[in-house]
Amino acid sequence: MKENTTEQAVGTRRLWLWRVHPWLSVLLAVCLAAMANFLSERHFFRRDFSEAQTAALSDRTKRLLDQLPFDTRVIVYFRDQDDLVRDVKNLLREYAYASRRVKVEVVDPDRDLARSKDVAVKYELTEANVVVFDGGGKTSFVEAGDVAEFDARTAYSGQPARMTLFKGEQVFSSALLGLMQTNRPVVYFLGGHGERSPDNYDPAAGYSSLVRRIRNEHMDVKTLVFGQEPSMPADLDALVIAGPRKTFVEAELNILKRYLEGSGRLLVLLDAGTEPGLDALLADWGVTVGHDRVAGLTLTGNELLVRDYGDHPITRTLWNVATLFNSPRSIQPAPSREGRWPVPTGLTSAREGTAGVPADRPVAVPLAWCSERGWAEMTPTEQPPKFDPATDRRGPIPVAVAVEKGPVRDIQVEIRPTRLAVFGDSSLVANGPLSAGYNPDIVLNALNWVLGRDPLLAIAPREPRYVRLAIGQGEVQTVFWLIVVLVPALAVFLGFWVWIRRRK
Amino acid sequence: MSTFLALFRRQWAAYFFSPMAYVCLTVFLAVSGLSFVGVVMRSFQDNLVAGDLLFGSQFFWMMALVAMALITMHLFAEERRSGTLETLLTAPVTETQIVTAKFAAALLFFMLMVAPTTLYLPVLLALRAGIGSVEAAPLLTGYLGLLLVGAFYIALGVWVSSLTRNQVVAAIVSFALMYVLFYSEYITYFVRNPVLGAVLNSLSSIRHIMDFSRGIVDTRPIVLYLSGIFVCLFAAVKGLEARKGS
Repeated sequence: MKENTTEQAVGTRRLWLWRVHPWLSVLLAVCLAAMANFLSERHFFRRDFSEAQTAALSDRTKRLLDQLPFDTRVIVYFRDQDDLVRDVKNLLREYAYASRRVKVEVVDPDRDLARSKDVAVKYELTEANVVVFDGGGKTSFVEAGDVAEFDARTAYSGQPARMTLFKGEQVFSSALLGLMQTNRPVVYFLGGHGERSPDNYDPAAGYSSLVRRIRNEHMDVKTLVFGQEPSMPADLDALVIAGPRKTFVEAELNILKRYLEGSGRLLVLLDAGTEPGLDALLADWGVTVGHDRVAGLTLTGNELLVRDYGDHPITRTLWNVATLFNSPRSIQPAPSREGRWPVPTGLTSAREGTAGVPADRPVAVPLAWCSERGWAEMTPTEQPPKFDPATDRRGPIPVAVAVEKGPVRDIQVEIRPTRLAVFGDSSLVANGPLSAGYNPDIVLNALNWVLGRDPLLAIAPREPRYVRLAIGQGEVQTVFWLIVVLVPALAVFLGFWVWIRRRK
Repeated sequence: MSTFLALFRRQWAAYFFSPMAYVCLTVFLAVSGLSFVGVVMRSFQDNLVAGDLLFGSQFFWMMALVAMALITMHLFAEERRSGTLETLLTAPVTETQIVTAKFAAALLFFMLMVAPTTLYLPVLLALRAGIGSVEAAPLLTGYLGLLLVGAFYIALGVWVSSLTRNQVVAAIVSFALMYVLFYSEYITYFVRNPVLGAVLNSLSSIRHIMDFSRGIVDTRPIVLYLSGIFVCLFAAVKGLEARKGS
């Protein structure tokens, strides 16, 4: 009796095991799969095979992400219907894939009301379509308007706006760099000579929009007036002289001269028809200021459409971007012994053009110039400007120049280079053009370069590769009949054929 | 191998004797064709990338999910209902051979269903040369994504079908699981737990398809789908083994 009970117990246990065993095996398989996926999350290969390379981050961004010292939360506070949201989300996911420290959260103000409210309150957001970078105790914001450029023709036609350039990587990496920087560079705007004021909101004369963009790039802006300060401020990282109208006095020129000789960083924007008296100072640094007005490709008569750029860190991101100068004066490198300026046509390397120049001499490189069809009008008041072969000079005529002296590298020390960028127009980044979406890049790039923040300048914007199939009504009908009617009809025919065959 | 091939041929032939397969094929091709024409018509206005032409339509994916649920629902449920499963299990074949043969037949039928869509763009471009250019790489990687997602969901359907004798229940449960997995990214709107949110995001097929159709190949979804196929088929095999033993 006892043996029977024992045998029954063993039999029950075996039956139980027999029933449980398959499910334990399945559980084990699930664990193995989870482990494989866990490992694949940590060691993965990801490659973009498309021509547009929208998912490929630049080496500079990858290096930046490698050096990110703290966890960073990126909140994409975008409406789902926005044209940009997909590209923004996709790009930021690449940041998260490239660095474990970056966590991306998408908050749609229309769908996720509770979270949206939290985010809006925490970061004091009044409008949607902003990307928030939060890390290292600091926050940084990128607005939708800074991420891409759209075709102005489609923007007002009622059709979905066509993106012409996507600058996501540049602005997002800049925001990350802003979080990582311990000290924000301080940019001083010089006053006292009728310069454009950073506090002026006037569309034509003010620089308030430019200053907002400069602050968005994690720089502080202050103003400086010679005479109020005994010398250059100690926290000055770069000086901006924007559109001076009065002449500088000798003492002021000496201050500027000493500042430049002491590895100074200067951005100058000069207007045609003004005589601030900076010609001699700039000539010492290899820059010739023209007393003329550059004319050429124009839309309404006054502005100059510039599409030709030198190969320089400042202009490397401006591929396929036009810059609108407003009646600029010529600014060109001082002629070499051969009487020519170093980069004549096309995108020849600035280094090639300056080969053989000792490192302790200033090297001036043209940044932008009018086409060969443009000219330097030697009678600036002539309206409309007309090319006169006797007096005027035929293009290409440069309207912006970058100058660098040094760096002089020794075995143990590296002398900080002097950097100087000069533009022949100051209105190109006034509030009006900036609010219309023109011109910020070349001047902001110049400011970043002057400050030595080169890495971000090399991240080029991308041209989206959208599919545009120009198909007419006739083709639509043919495709409809072929694809929507004929192909499914073949499946129906095949079914009937099999059915009839089987009946036979 | 010959046993596997015999089982595969039996299942493959069964598809062509079933009116449901033709209905499925016809409706899928009509809906995918219609969504393709719709996307092409708005391609001149909207900002679409090459992969969107074929894989950017929600109608296409919704129909694909329905089709996958329908072509897998009968695989075991019908055999259980008609009583032929017991006969099959007592035959000199292994459970692994039965499951893999049915999976392979269903996957091949799915590929046959999708195959005509590869002709859509060549037909369009042949009709009128010069209407625009379309990059090939995102389309190829898009089809790789479609194959992986399709294989995983079919394996899921095979497993669900092995659990019930009712085809309709199998189809509804399969479709519900596929739907949740496909759109799991959207569930994160309601989830506050970051770990769960990350898991849901990494399971979301729509996210993977978006990547594949942009020309991106990532080993993580590939591992996810291959391991998912393995788990589903393994669970189906073990379910049959348990049934054989009871």
